[in-house]
Amino acid sequence: MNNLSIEYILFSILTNSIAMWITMTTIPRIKFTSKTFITFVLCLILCSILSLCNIIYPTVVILVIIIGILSNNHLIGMILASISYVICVVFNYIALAIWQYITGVTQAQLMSGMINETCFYLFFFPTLYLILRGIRWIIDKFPRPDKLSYKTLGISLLILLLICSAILVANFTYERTHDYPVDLMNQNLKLFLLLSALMAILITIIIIIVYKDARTNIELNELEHLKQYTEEVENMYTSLRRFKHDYANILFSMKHYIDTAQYRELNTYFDTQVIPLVTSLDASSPALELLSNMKVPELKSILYFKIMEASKHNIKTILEIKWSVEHINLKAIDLTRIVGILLDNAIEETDLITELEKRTINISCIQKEKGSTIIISNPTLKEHINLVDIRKKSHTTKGKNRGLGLSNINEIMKKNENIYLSTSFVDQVFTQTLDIDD
Amino acid sequence: MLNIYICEDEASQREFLQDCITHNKISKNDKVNFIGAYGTPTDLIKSLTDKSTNDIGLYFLDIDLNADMDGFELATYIRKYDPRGFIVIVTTHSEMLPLTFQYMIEPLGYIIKDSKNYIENQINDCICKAFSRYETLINLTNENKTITFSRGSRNFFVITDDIIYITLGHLTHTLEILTNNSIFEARGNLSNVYKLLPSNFMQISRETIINLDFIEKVDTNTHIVTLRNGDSFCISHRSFKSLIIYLSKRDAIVIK
Repeated sequence: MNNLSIEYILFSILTNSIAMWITMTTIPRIKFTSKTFITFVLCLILCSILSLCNIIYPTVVILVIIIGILSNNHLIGMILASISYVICVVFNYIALAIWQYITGVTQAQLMSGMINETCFYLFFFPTLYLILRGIRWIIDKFPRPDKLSYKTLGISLLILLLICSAILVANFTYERTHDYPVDLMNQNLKLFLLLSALMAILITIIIIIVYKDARTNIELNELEHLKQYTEEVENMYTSLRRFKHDYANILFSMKHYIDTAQYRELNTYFDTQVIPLVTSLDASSPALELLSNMKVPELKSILYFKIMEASKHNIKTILEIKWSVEHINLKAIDLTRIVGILLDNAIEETDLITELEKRTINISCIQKEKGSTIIISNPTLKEHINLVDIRKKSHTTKGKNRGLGLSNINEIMKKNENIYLSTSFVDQVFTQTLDIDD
Repeated sequence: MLNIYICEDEASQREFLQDCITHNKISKNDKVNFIGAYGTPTDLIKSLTDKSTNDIGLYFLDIDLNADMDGFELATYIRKYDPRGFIVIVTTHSEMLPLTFQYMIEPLGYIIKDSKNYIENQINDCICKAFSRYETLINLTNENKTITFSRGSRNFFVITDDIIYITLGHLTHTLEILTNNSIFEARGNLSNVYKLLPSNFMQISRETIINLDFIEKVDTNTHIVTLRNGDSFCISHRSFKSLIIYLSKRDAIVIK
């Protein structure tokens, strides 16, 4: 190692940083702005200096720390970066082994000729990229864990990181003391294969834990919603029974007036007693009545939840589900997110209105022959809305969350080609129509 | 002709509706023709015969019809037969589903069953609204100022003067249409749509058709046109010349 040339060190730093870069951008999905780019370059220069002074291991640590600082969640950023590095090294060794198998060029020979090594990296980078994309794809397939599961995930990953680092340190010390003998490659390969097997097992365990956690949470939530829903239905039933009772009484009273031919009294009675009852019946007709027509459980749950939230804000919700909705051709997670965001926005906007009779959100769910439609409309105080701006990513009218919500919708729309969102604004009523084709 | 139809299963209410309609002043206009009041949807469908392009129907439909077809299905049927027709939904307060009705049948209005006086007022409003829309619509159709976009089973009927611009949508073969009060996506091809539009539209690039009446200003240096709603678009080199020629004839627009 001591007799390596400066060119070689620069070359290896370059290749290593490219590999690291590929790994980092695919697995933790760090977005590179100009600021991050500059930091990365500075960090590379620092690494080269350190490498020239023959210190390799700290460079990794520095890289990891810097990436951690750059990412939103520092701890997870650091963990992911370290994992990325480990994955990178593992794949490097695997690729070396495959390369040796294909071309017969060993690592020692590789190190002696720059052309050989360039050829190797031309093979290595695309393979690395493809494999990492595959891993990322598998990660995306699983439901996004919430905060609680993130904690479990974080701790498990930290343990994993410690094990990996220990092996790495051992490996580097071994390399340093033996000055790269030819059989070192096989030794390394065995070590890292063991490491990757260990990682695979651990990651599988973690994913299973996270998945179960998420499921239990969802189930608990649903159970809670179901409980509230049952209570609501019971209340409705009680009020219906009360009405039946009243209804019989009213009929008897009317019969009495008719029998005794007191038509004027009948008239007064009708106006003062019957008509208010009918109006109150209409007014109290709860949004939940038609929720039983919603047969898609996740949508039923989110609708119920948001209607309850609206009523907490003293906002009335009118739910129209005339025909039963059996199926919506959209992944449950996307469906609940998009409907959740639209309803949150509607509630937020309606909450600004002070006149009580105007504080109403209308929701309609329609099952059609070839698709389904969800319509949400709410009143606003605004005189004018720029309908184009409202769809753009950075648009915010109040606070950060709102704009973010709409940009999330855009993202979901890009992922799913069968959904369309039409927006209209007429007479200070804002309507969002979401068409989902089958 | 504006042809008026009624469908209501209950005889007394049917007669009342018919009375209100025939006593309305507008109904006596010779452009208005009362066709009939029917007790079942099948009877009404039978009465829908061949119509000329200048015929638009005004339908008063009860929702709860006690027949194999409810008012809703009847309205959907009528929509297919007479896409521009005016549908008025007669219903009770509790059966009212405004958003669903609006989406599926785009009714002209609603008549909520309440006191007779109230119903009569609502009917008069609806006839008045229908008649004025009928007249503008007939004029617009004759001048070729309406266009229909579609996506799946859904149709968007638009008056071209309301369109601000048409641009490519988020998927291939879709268009995004911005009008005065809505934005939606429909299937279509820009050059085909352009052929259907009147002369106050111009295709300014491969992606965009704009309504020239909505131009706020044109920047001759950067070739950017700004519309009155605040949006701006790049103009392709070829269209720029014809745009300038067009605009020089109308001096109201700022050219910088």
